[in-house]
Amino acid sequence: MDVQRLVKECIKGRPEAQRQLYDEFSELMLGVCYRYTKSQMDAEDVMQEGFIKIFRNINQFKFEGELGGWIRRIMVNTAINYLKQNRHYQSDLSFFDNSMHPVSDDNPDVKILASDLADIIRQLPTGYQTIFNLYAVEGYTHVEIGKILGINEGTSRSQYARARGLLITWLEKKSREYKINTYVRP
Amino acid sequence: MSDHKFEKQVRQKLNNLTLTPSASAWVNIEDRLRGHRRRAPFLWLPLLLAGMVAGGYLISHSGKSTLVPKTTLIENKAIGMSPLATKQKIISHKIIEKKTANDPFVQTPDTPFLIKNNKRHILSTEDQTISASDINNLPAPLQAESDNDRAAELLPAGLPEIGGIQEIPVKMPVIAGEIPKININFGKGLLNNISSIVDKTGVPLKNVFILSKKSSGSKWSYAIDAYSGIVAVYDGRLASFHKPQVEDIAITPSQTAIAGIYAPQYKPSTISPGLAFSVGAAVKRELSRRFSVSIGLNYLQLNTRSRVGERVNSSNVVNNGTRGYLYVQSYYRLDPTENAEYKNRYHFIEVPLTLHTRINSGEKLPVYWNAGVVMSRLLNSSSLHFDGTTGVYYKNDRLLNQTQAGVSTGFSFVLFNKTSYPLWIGPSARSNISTILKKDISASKHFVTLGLNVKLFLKNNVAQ
Repeated sequence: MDVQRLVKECIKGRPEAQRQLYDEFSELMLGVCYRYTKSQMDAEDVMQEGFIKIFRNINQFKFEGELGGWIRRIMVNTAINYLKQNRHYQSDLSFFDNSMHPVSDDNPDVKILASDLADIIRQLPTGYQTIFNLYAVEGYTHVEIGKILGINEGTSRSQYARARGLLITWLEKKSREYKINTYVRP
Repeated sequence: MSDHKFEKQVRQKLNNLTLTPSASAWVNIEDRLRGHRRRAPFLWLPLLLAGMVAGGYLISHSGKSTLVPKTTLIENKAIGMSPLATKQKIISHKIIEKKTANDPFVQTPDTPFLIKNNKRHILSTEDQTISASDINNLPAPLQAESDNDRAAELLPAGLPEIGGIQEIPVKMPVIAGEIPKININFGKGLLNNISSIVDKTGVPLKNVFILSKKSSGSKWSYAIDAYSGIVAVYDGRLASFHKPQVEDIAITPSQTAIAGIYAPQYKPSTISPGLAFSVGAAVKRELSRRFSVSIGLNYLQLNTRSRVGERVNSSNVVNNGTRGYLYVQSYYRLDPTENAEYKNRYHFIEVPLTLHTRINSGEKLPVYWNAGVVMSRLLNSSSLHFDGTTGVYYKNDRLLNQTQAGVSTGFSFVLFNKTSYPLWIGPSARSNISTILKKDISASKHFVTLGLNVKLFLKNNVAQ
């Protein structure tokens, strides 16, 4: 079933089409949700919520871009709403943290697995984690991030710089562990 | 998007990160989707209407004898009896309640009874003299279907005085155990058949009528008033009747008059129709046989729907049009990818004044054409306005027209007209003359509603 027909069938509410769309995108979207949350369970909650929104609003997809991109945007927005509404994340989602995390302009090679990289990003404070994901992975500008998160552009920019610096420090540490592990257990 | 090498590598790795969801994830999604679909909008509406109709029917038929074969037994010699006003011996009756599982409507010829609340009440017999004043103590008139036309054939040449008794030989067929209720409306009174004279075998011999003083019948009657339907926002343009836009408060009427002074950066959501309902009480006054007028006091709720982004619980400054800038504590974003449905809810208290004009003469199903005016006062609202300069939806009831005037029209079909609880039901349409927003904000949008109006009258003012 091509995308156009799949969407039309989903608009009609056909369960088999909805299942097919879910099967096609759920693994990728769980990966997206995983990056924004702190646990697999939360990631699944976000993904479920996101798919429900998708199925209820799929009539608004106008085939002006890729379906995957549209679904991804809804997932990201759902994840951010989840962070804002979930008490576990709210306290950690402050964007006015004055902690002086190091800022780095380095551009190190990222030589670890995607899942390990995602796990490291998830260890960042939620505010850093969110802004890093939105800027570095989703490709939003700081102006857009400011609008999405209700902060000003400068805050987004400085938070991102600190998130990046902290992440590079951790990645370098992780890379050293990789080398050691590789040496001990060839 | 950053062009740094580090960001590129991160993006490449994470964009393709996949994880396998648990099996329960799809089950949960499916449950919520199907559950959502089951909650069909307005499903309760026909149920409510059916309930009201059934309730009205039950009320109108409860607490009365459903079939009262009000039978006065006389001795065989009584066939040629003198008028009842002159004292004479007849057999009267007392009511003894007896529960029975048998069909209560089947009469046993020599055991007179009446039916009340589906129970058979056996009538005991004892000798007693009866006078005109005793007539009032006889059981209530029969509740069988009226048959005024056939009864007219039975009318005597000279009518009795008010309170006088009139015996009329049985001319019309009488269903075993059932004497039709006859209420004949005369200029000076109302002729009711109150009893039938039967012989000991139960064969009807004569009908006994009494001419009672015609009840003046209060010209006032009271009703429970309910309305349910849909409401839409009409901006004066038929082309956009189904989808007018949420008002951009930043554009004032004076600005729109000068082209180019303001170019909104963001486009607001459209407004979809929603549920409208009202409930309240009304009082009706008969002006003549054809015209009546009613006035009511109702609570009215109008709901429209628009699509907004996420709610933000933090302060913001919005462009409040001619009112300057407004500091809001919370607002909704404009986000095309995250546009959840938002219900703009308007709570009103309203006073409808309606003229009812009867357009047919049939008694079984009178039909009225209703036309009137409605004044309503806004109590509260959750409606959102839009600031096109920042792309923000926000709440500010002060922008709304607090008092609304409207005109209404519709038809009412009167069910159960012969009972004490007639039910008026029919389509009704209304258009508000007043705009939703104050005139310096917007002079175009107003509410129009279309739905079903139901009035259950608690007291029929038609003399029975």
